[in-house]
Amino acid sequence: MNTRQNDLKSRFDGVLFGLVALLASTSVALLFSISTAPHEGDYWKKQLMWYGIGLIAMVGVTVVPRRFWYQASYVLYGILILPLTLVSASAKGAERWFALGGFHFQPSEFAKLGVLLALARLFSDRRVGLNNLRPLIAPFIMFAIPFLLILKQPNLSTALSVAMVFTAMLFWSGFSVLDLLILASPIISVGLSFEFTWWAVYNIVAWLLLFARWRAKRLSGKVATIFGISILLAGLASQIAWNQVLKSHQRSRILTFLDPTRDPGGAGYQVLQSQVAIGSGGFLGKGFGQGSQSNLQFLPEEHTDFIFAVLSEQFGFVGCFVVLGLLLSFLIRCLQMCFDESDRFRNLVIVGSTTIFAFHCIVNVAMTLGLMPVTGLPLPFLSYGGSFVITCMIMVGFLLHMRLGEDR
Amino acid sequence: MIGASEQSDQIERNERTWIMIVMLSLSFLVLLGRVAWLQIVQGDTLLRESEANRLREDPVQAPRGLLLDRDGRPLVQNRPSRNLVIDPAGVRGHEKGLVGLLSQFQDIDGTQLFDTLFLKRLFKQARLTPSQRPVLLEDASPMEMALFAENQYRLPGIIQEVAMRREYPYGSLAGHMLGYTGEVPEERLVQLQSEGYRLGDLIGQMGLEQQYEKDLRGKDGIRWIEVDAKGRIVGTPDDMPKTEPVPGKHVRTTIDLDIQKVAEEAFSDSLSGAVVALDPRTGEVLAMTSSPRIDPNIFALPGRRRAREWAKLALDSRRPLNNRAIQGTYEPGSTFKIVTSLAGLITGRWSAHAHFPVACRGGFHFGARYQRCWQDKGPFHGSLNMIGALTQSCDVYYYQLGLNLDMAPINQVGASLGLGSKTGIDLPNEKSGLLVDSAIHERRNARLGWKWARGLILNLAIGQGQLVTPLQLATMVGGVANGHQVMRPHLMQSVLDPETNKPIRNSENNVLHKLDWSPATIATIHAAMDSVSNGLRGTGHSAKLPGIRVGGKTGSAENPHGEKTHALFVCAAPMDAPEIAIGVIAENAGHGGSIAGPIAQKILKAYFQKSGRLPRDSTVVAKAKNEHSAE
Repeated sequence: MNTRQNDLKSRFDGVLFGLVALLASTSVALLFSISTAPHEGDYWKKQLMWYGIGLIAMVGVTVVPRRFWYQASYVLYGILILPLTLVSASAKGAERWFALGGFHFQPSEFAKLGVLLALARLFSDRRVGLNNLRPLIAPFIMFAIPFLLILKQPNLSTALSVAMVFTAMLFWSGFSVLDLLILASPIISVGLSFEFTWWAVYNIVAWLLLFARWRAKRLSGKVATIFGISILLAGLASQIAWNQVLKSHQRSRILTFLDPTRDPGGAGYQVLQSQVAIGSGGFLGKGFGQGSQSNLQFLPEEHTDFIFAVLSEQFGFVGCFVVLGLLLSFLIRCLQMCFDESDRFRNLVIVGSTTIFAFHCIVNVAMTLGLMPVTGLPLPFLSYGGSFVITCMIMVGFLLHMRLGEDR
Repeated sequence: MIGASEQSDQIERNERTWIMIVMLSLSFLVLLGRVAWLQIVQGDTLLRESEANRLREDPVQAPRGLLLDRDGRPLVQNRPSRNLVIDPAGVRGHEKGLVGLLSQFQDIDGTQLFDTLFLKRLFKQARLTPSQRPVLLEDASPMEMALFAENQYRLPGIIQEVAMRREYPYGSLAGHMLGYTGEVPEERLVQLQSEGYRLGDLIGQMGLEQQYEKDLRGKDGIRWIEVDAKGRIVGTPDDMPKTEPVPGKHVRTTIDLDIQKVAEEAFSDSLSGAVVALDPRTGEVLAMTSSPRIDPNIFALPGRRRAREWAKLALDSRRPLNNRAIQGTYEPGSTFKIVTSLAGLITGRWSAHAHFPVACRGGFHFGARYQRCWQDKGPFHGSLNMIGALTQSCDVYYYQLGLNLDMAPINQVGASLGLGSKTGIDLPNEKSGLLVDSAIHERRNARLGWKWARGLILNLAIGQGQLVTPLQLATMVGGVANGHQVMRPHLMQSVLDPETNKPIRNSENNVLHKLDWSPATIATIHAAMDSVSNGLRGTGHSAKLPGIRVGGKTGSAENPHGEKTHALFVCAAPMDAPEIAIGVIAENAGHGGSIAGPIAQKILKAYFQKSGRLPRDSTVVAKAKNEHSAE
């Protein structure tokens, strides 16, 4: 018994949990601050309940032996991916929700966990690189199935967060930053293809780079050629698709997605009001519960996607500084564990979870600040949402669990 | 081996961890930078924007000042009215049902209150500009209010508002002079916005309402209301500055309601023309009327009825919108003979007692032309001196006087009496009239190629060819009766503080022209004018009053527009110390003596009865009673 208690004590990271507790309290406080607005009244109570459930899930994760998570990862992958296929098989393609006993779940949130564990296990026994693509086949298929299913929902942002997990694991398993850049080079080519000069310059630079890598024997001739050609083709294909295949209303929808200010009355309204809310907070903010933008419903989706704007309006730059600091501290604290941990599976779970958290944080805050397109990506720990809070708490459980300790 | 590989693993792992930490930190730094940009650099701008989101100005209507008569009786006042308006936030989502329901509403005679197209347009407007409340029903009657009260539960978002409306209690009385108010025309809105006018604000658009707009208009107060994103009113913030409305100032006019009423009554509705009565000592206008009349109340009618009435006025060929007292220009006819006479006397080129070589036998030979006297059927005027000639209005005398003098001195006297230029009365759009000499004649007829000829003097000497307004006639005769100065006619006596009713500003009785006439000249012209109404052969007996020395001059101006002449009459009384001067013009009505004279007489009678210098006769009392019961 005594050793067990010691074990629990050493396993429990007080700092990490403290950071989570601070962020969770901030979330409840923010949801309480907007409870005077109509239709927003109950969220803080419900959020409290979700954190209760999340806490139980987190403890549950830590109680189960680590070996179980390793061994059960493929099974869990299958179980958690299954609802995705059910959802996408239903008639309504845009359905993200899955009803289970009166509760609505977002299966894609939980699917992320399955992908995380399965990929961590797969990558834990292999080293990969651009010259060594064969071992990548299994992980790629394992990533691609949920990725495409989530994309089809459609839920671009969650799909991208799954892709980020995959990318982070590639990086951890041997890809260098340059390799990742080469991997992304056809996508960059698509982006630049709209400005011919830039695209041409980019092509030349990319080819020179591939050539240099090949000369330095860091890249096989075959792979270098494939990427060189795909850079060229991606750019051309995107131009053909844009000008020939897409209808003008589709083009305008894409443009509005990328730059919401094109449509200030519609899609741009949220972004505009969000920036107004944030900016109007000033240095010290308007005070707790005094956010006119959030209280008078100028801010849409304030309890979920735009919670950061609620914070900024009431607590100003000081509040933003503190909360961004807390989030970054949390992420760094997570990554720090990898310094001392040699177990590849554990490190991959840590890196994958941290990537999900980081991706959510950066994309959500950047979106609220008008730096990125509006995607429905919630802010970890702060945004309201049952499935999301529980998923986050489960991942916190993983992080706490994968820390130092010998039981494998 | 294993140790070495583990060590290199450790190094690589740490390197990769550091890369991730640095990339994360850089990303967060970018985010923090953006937060700082929005909150610190752009903070004030965005704070203002968020305030603009939540706060909306809600104007509090300031009452418009009243127009009073010289004794303080209101000629124009305000009355509260109820409007039914659409609250854009309240009707959202109910538009279809509301259109259906409202289009079924009928007034007493069974006609539809609102047509469907009107309703659809209104609801669309409400949807597009949610900050404004479109008016569904202006000035709702008690019947209509009852109809809405009954159905209120079925009419979400239809609310009542109280607004002040302009009311003209005496209807068309002095309608032209008082003017009316209307919504600021859209084309002037941009220009007037700097003066604080908003769409839908009322602005004086004619007469005194326009002239004294700046005084009459109050300053609307501002109340701030807090609204939510859907435009629903959430509350009124206490911390915002509130501006109380400043009521408009009252304008006390020089009009005497009693005299004005008599003037309106005396000038029958069947006549077109104008009457002006003023005090020659000060230039204060006592009464001013123009016919065909307008009732300014129609401009305060609700939308569609207003448009209908307006169209009726605008399309009327008699042009009722003209204020003939200042905008109607007429040939002065024989009333101008006063000016011609004075020109002879003042220049010393003709004496009061002198007779012209040609006696009046019904006409006058000038070259090949034979110019008739108005009395060409006899008994002929014969040889007359000036007093006799003015009394009988002998044309032959004035033909010769005109030829003797030429136009320059005549026009000089005319100008000194205010003819040929604007008097400068405090009303908009006054006409200047016209005095004619050779240069002006040729300029005006340049297109026709008409040249000046001495024969034209014959016409001009008897007032055929010039143009005067009724106001100028009254001003002129007032100046002649006064003999020393011509006063600028005016309508504003003082501007009153709406709270205390104390004058803030008084009008200055400014002198239009000083007259430098010899006592003999004054005596002669006064005697002549006296003789017109009191003399044995006077043409103006119809203006005679017992015990009051009335001096006048008739005129019957020929004109191309009708068979009958314009009937003119000018007069002043009492001639020893004139207090009232009157100009009357009735278009195509006949002779000045028979048509215009009696109108002037009624006004004179009322004036002197009011001051107790004339006993009230039974007919006037009877009329006053009638008036009372009619009200």
